[in-house]
Amino acid sequence: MKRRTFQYGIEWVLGSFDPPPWMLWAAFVVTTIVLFTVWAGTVYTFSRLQLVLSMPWDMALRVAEILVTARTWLDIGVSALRVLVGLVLGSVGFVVALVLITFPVMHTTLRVYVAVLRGFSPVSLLLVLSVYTVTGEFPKPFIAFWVTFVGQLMFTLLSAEQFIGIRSIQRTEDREYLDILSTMLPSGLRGRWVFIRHILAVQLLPTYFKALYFVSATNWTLLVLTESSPTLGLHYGIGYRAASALQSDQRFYDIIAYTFVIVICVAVTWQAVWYLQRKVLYWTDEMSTRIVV
Amino acid sequence: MTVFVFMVPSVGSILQLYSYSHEQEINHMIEMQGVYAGYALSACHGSLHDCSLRVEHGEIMALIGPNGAGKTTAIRVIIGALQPMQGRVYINDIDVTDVSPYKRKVGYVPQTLGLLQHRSVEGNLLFPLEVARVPKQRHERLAVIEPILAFAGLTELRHCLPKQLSGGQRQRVAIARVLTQGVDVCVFDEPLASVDVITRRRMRDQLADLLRRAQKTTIFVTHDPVEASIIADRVAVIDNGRIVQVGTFEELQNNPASELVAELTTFDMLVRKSTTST
Repeated sequence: MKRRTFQYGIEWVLGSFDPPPWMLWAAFVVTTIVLFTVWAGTVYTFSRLQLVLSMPWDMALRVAEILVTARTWLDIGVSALRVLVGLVLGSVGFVVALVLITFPVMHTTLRVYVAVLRGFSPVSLLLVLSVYTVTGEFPKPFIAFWVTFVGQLMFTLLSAEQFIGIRSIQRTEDREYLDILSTMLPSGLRGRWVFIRHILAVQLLPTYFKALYFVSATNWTLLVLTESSPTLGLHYGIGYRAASALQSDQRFYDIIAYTFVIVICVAVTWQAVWYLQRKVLYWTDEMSTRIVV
Repeated sequence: MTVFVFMVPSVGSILQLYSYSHEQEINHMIEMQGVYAGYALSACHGSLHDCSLRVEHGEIMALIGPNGAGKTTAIRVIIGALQPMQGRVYINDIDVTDVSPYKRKVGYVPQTLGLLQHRSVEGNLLFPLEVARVPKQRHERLAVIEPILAFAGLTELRHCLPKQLSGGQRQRVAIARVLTQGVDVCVFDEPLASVDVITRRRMRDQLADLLRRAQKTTIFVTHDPVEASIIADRVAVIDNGRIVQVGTFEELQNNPASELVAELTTFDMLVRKSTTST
């Protein structure tokens, strides 16, 4: 029994073990109970901590209070719209990456891009993005677009370079696909389009979805940070509400509650992406029959 | 008319397929004359150096040779994916050297089979018709692939994805797709290279059966002498970018033009036996 459990653990870590749904739910419930117990225990033990953090059930009540007001939903709606605009516009990054990968003329450019991107450290990129966003010098949709665009472009280019990018075009399989296509339709732009649509895009979609999860979370966080900037003088958005909470008597209490709200927003966005992936595009595994028809 | 001898799912569908592939009674032959192709005019790894070959109408020609001999380069020149630096390529007695691959009416099945993994068997067969936009309507396209599905024994599997099929079934899909293209000649680049010995034996027999029934002029690249002897009518041996001998497998076995031809046309088992006996 012990040996089997150990084997499951190793397989889980290595990714070959696909846990059944009940196991995932059980893990979620156990983790939540443990976290809340530790939280309640800490607050109870260190009474001074109660100035900034209340008991879990009090916090849950405050989150519920925030969520039931109409004004909160307006703020959530405004922020969600900004995130959505950013995601849609940011998808241009994916298209640009595809074009760069597909057209041989662009390969040199792609190599330069990858070399430049590798030259940046993630920390410096984050700093640059923070300066862009926190100073609040730009309109929110633009910031949302910028964050998403750069995120998606970087993610797609880097993963494309790793999996199917520069090497893919030279790889036997893709050359074979191109040879097959050349026997089926005249060469030129349409041939390239068919290659992008039926071969490259299909291979890239899993990467794209990964990028979408990553970017949506980053986008929410950065957007909320920007919305909290007083220089913009906006009066809507979760970030603005969180910043306003700072002025109140129970500011820490409210900030934590708003953090919960943001986490819920990110979770809902992920769920929406998951829905798009599984229910709309039927992208269940690595391939699907209905993804491109 | 030997096509009627074999057991097939529907005689009507085969009649339709037969008329489909023989609309014009012309010689679907392939010919390369003094072709130089690859990286340099001199003989180097994978390039062709004064390569000449002729495959007759309805013939299955196996192209065998060591690694880097120029087999893949030769078939890329035939399908038009690679432009020769010198020499001419003829299909049906027409000079196609400067003709685009699309207009050559050549079907290509690579080593990986090149199936679209996200599309069903039916989707893969419809694909050449969709990209060519002929016929216009989906139900017309389905009518075109219907007899081909039956011919290749894929009717029951039409909604399966390639990953749900066995190696032999996938191979049949690749061949059926070539037939859907309505091509005159077929070119195979080691389609059995990546399968195990037992599966390969079964797939080899299926492939031979299917190719003979389709009656397409075929070039078949392989490393395996057994494969060449079973599937092909004639065998061409390529070395250093040049065809060194062409003939039936028995002819090559009995009168090899060089040591390489003798080696390539000798089965491993016989070599082992003779080694043991000496």
